[in-house]
Amino acid sequence: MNKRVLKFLCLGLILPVMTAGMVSCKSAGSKSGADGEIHLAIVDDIVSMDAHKTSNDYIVPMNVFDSLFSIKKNPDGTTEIVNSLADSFTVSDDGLVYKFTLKDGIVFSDGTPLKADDVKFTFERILTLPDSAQTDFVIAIDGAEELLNGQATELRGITVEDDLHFTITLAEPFSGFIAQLATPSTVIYSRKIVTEAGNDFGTVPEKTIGTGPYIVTAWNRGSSLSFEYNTRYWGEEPSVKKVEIKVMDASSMNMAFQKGDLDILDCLFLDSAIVDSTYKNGAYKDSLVSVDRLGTNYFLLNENIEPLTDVKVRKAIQLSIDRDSILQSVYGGDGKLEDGIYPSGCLGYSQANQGWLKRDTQEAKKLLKEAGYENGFDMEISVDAGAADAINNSIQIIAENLKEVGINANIKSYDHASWLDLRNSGKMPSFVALWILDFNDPDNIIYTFFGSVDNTVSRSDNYGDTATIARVADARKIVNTDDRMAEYAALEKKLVQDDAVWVPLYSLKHTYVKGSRVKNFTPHWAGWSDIYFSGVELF
Amino acid sequence: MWEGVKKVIYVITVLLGVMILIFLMLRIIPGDTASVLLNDHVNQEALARMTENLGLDKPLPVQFFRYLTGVLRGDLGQSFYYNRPVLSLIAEAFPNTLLLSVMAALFAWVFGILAGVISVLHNRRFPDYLFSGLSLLGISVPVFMTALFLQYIFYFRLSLFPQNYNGSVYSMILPAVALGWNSAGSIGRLTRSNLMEQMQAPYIDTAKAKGMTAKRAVLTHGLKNAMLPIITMMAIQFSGMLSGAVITESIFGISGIGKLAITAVQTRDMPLLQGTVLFAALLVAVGNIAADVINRVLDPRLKNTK
Amino acid sequence: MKENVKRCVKNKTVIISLSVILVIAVVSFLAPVLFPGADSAQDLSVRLSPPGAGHILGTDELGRNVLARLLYGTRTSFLIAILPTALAVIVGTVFGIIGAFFGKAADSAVTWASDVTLAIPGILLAMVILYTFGGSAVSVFLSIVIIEWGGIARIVRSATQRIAKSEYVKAAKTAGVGRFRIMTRHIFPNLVPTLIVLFTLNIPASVLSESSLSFLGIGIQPPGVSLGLMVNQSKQYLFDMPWLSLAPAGMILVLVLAFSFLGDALRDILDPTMKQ
Repeated sequence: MNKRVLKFLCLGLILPVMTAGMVSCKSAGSKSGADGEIHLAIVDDIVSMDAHKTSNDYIVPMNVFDSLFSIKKNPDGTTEIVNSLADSFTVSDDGLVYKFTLKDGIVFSDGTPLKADDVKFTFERILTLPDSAQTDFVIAIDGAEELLNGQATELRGITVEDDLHFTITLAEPFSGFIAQLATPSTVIYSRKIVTEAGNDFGTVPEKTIGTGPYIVTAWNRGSSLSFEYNTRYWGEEPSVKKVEIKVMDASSMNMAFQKGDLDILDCLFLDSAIVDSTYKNGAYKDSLVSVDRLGTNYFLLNENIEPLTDVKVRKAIQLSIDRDSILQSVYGGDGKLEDGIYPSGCLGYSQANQGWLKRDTQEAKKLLKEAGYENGFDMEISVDAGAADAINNSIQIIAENLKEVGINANIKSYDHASWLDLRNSGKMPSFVALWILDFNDPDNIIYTFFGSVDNTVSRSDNYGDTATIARVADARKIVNTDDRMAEYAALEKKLVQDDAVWVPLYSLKHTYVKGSRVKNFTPHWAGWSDIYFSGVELF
Repeated sequence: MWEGVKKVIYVITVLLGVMILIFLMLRIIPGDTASVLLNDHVNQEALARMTENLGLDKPLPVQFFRYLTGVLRGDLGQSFYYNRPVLSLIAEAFPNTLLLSVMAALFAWVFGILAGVISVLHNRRFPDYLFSGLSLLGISVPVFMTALFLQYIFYFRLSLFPQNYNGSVYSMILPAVALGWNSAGSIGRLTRSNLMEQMQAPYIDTAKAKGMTAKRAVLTHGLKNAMLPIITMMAIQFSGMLSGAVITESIFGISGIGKLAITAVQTRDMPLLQGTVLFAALLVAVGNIAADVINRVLDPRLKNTK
Repeated sequence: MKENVKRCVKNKTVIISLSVILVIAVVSFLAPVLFPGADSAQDLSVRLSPPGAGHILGTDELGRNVLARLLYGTRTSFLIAILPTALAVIVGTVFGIIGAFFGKAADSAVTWASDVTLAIPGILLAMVILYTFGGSAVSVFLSIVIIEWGGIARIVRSATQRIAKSEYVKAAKTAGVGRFRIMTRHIFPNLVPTLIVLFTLNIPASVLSESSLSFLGIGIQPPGVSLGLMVNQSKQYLFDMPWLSLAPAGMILVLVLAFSFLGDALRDILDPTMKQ
């Protein structure tokens, strides 16, 4: 080979680029929405279509199944719980006995009628399925603990009166119970369908049958999911009749959306610089749809790991992190700083607990000195190798921030499984994560992290104050809402400000871009990445 | 005949070695599969119950014996992640990988040999430099760069091909070119250098003396003689092609063996990773045997030597 | 041997590709001196700025200097290409010689072991290793050794057999020279040219392995930096901020080409039989 070969080699590279540059990018805007079909994209394939076996992939439970209740977002931004499969319910004065009536005439998409017994079956399945992921959502029911532990064979807290009427008795009063029944975690299955399908339920599309507005028609693992309108659906007919969801990475999504091959683009997957240049300030600026995500991003500190055991060290870390700079650069300023546990928009969000945390590296250094770490120390930040680019960038900024006060933070990467394994074992030293509400109640977030010793271990916070843990668990039982919220606010102050359990970071806006065929799009009320297809209206 | 039987037995022992190697490597550090399946919202009891349910708590030899007897019965185990038999997942994915590999090999053949022949016929003139350059790019550019580049030009800019594989043969063209370019480069270079050697061979002079042009002589005689090493090379590259398929499948969203393997790694799905790697090794072994057979049929010299 | 060196020095391809490699090696290994700490130093106010006066190759998503990162990344990729390849050559040589020289049983064992690793497509084998040890430089290192040793052992084995059949080795044997002495005095020196060629020709494959694994997100992990990881991290900006991917991709291309040219030229000079 000689130099001339290299010259042509360069030519070979440049030629196609030039040709490509000359052909202008055509938009496929001519396609109309008349066929009722939309194309969406997700980054990772779902694990299971069965809500009881995943706590992450709700796209099928949300669109193919229904819960007893659902959550409706009002124009003013507030949310309310409305009936879905349930027609009505009453609660006894002591807050223990709930009497439900189902809507009459509801059938599953294969024609099987919905019966009150199906509710009993579903909740018993949640508690008896060996790998159940949703036990937290029905554990409040009387007898649930016994069924879960194998001491009972039936859930005594549910009695079925007839096909439409059933009664649920709680072990103790819990005001968040109806909210739990409005999540996709508690969608209702048919005893007949699930029993007949066996292992195919949740894995084979034709056997995964619900009462919801759509049926799954295909699931090509790792590449796509297809849905069609369920003609037997009991509710209002949605505008979208067919849905095709493809699994693709962020850059492919970006390309596909610009080519008109995707109808909705989830901007959270893209870097804020690209969102800014291509979408916020480009031809798409009138097609943006935003929702405040009801979720707190936090930097969690494990109280069992030296020297994070010292509250002064944890407070120093709280003071060192430049949260605003992360929010501005990584997320393009699309969100707001959070100083507590409950995100803005969450019931019980306390304004009084906000605004106290300001970056102060001098104060941080002083605290470190008092704690005996004048010369800093080494710590590990664990990161999930599969985490979004934004999380990776945030962690690298946090590490730089900590370096400024003398703390040497090593970022260690784990594959997704090992990361979860480490966290569940309670041994993860520190990490950045996010909790988005399942239902709008402070209990949903505070209980998960601090409601029991088990939970403090599996969340790797290892919060050691058992008296406070007991208070978190007991707060559920306070019947008067104002009293309950006051207790949650007090607990928030105690946990974050006094005990520095974590560094609260921010809550984000979830921004989408709708394509030319989409007239209206309503994202999930809490800003989940999973959406209700019926929230999409086509031209 | 006896040679053939011996070869097959040997291949089986190699596959057994692959099984042991993979099985041991995957169990040196146990990852907790249960926690991935449950993802968030986990509690300790749920984790413990699931570990027991999947048999992850049994001693290693017991697990291996179970696995081995399973494989012999055609049972590669149950995928943790998909909750389905690994064999049926592979059976679903294999046709896609097969189509991809066959089309890529076809492209590599046609483009590689064509590039080699054109280079020789236009020795040290523009077409030679162009095709030699393209061949060189083929062997030196990583598959993922080729794939992203092709996707950008032919999908995003020119709208000639779909972005992802959608089940049609047409949509497999871009992935096949991306995957095959590497082999095409090697074949192109090999064809070129083989033909160059052939040009010096005495029979070309004889052919010329008979009135044939050098070009025709090369095409009729030279190419035939140059084919054998190329076939051998294709067989050797088959394993490399499966490696490349992992990347190509992930970029073009093809549900093939490679995609399964990546999913298995990301979700710590031991049975699935074990199954896909074993299956890939089986393919490589079958490919080697096939190349052996073809070589024996095509090259009479080999019949006498062994 | 001397003559071989002379022929190499006279060969244009060898000189040019070797100079390219040396320049890249020296500059990238000087990176910590030229840009101390610049691989991780962030300046969020200038994130994703295009190439220009302040930053010759622009900045990345955290405002880090792309040129500095390119050099640091090249250093990582260089090390991860050269060290495991060298180890693979050593392991391959040891087993190759054992296979050729220690009787039929040893030969079968080595052939079998190399066939086992060669039966598994490289990336899949690496994925198994990465599954177990997690994504890190050490895992990538290990993967490359395990992927490459088998092929090297095969070639060394046949080369050793060829040398062992040569007249002077036979003569030494009949003269009663010990086995070990034959190996170290007669066989090994004759293997050296083959080993140099094998080493050079395996490096491009190692560079590509590292970049492919890091591209898939299972190789080197941030905040580490390598060429493959840089391409992976810049994938999203490929079309909007192309300088982020073009720099590492170009470097991969140059490294692979330089080592391929060097390897081909050395093979033609040192060991023409290897072409078969």
